[in-house]
Amino acid sequence: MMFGQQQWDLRPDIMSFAKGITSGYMQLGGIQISDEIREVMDSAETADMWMHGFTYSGHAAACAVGIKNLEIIARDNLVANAQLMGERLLAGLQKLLEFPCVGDVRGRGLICGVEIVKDKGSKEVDLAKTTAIQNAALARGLRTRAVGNTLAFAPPLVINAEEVDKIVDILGATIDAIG
Amino acid sequence: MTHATLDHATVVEMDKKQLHPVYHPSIHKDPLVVERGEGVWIYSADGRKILDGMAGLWNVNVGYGNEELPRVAYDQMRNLAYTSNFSGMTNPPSAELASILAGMAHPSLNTTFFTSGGSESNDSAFKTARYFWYRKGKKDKIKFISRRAGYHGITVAATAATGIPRYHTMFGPLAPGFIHIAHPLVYRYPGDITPGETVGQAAARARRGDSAGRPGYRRRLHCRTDSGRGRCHCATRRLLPPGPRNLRPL
Ligand SMILES: Cc1ncc(COP(=O)(O)O)c(C=O)c1O
Repeated sequence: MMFGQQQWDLRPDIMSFAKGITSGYMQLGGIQISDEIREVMDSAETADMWMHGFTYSGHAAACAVGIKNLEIIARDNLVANAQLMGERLLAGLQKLLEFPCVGDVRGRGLICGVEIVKDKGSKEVDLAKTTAIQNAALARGLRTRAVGNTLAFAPPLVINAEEVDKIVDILGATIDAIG
Repeated sequence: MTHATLDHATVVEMDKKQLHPVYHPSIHKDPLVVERGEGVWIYSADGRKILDGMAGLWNVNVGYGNEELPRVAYDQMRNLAYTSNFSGMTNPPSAELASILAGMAHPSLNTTFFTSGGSESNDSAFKTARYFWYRKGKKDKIKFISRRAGYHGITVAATAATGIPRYHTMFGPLAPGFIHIAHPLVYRYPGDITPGETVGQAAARARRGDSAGRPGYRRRLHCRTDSGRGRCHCATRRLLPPGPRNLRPL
């Protein structure tokens, strides 16, 4: 599934998107609107026209990159790879639950989060340790991001099994060293 | 001058004139100077090779160092990098991308409006929702409901939608019309969740006072959903599943 919302039985009226549409090679985002909303725009008097838009809406070069990016994601089966590698990453990170400071490990697709706590029972957040692990992991060659007390993982969809294992190994060694 | 030839110290020195997003000097003393990337790897100006477990900011899907994307960018920029796209004008790539995206995410989503990022997209969504109800004669239908702990961006409206108090404190007053409700993080839910049940279903059961629910949760749930007041149980942002099944009844 290409879109997160497709994992549930939703009927969106408006959907925001950005980020991965160009893989970051150009700046691009947007919204998609339902036919019902479109119809309301098409039937408006000019006094009530939709007075909204940006200088860079529909930027030609950004859109050209977006087209190619979607083509690459489909051609190289990156959605399927993300699912496969995501399962491997989640399974690997779940092994870290044996550390006293790892309170929760969760994930969906190729996005995972590892919550760092002071105590598994009280679930009290440990912001200082989360930042310490983030910085120590970087020194060991792994970039993660402390989002509150959660270490976030969302690697490129082209990641392979060996690289997924590397994430788990480096994070495990980092937590082991920090204690 | 190619930027790749600048050494670490030179970049760090020049960088002192730049203000970075979510800035505090204590976290920018010794910035990682990223010079190039290849696949999942980024390479720093001081010679380090780092696995980017965050794909930049969750977005470098096809990985770094792709050669096809810059080629289409080059060709398009030579032809036409940019011109106005306001009503009355269009260009081939934006028209083609809109036609590719039509129906791709959902059969009902056939029209695309382009922005340059997520905050702009969310502001566009808020204004479009209000526009819809304005046109339907319901001008007072202006409220937005979002989750506590959810991040929606940093424009004035997206900041108000964001359910993380840290983003609000120093920028008040918030844009009006944004209401925050409880988030669906299973790990942080204080009540009992029976197998196969979502957090929302468990919370609803607790409110009904069914035996499996925790009686005290009703009060806590109220204070969580009481926008802006009461004690917030999620002062820090966490990674949450969206749990839209919980949103349905709204
Ligand atoms: C869920 C979500 N919404 C909105 C945004 C804001 O997007 P941008 O930073 O492109 O304005 C982000 C960015 O992190 C996001 O993750």
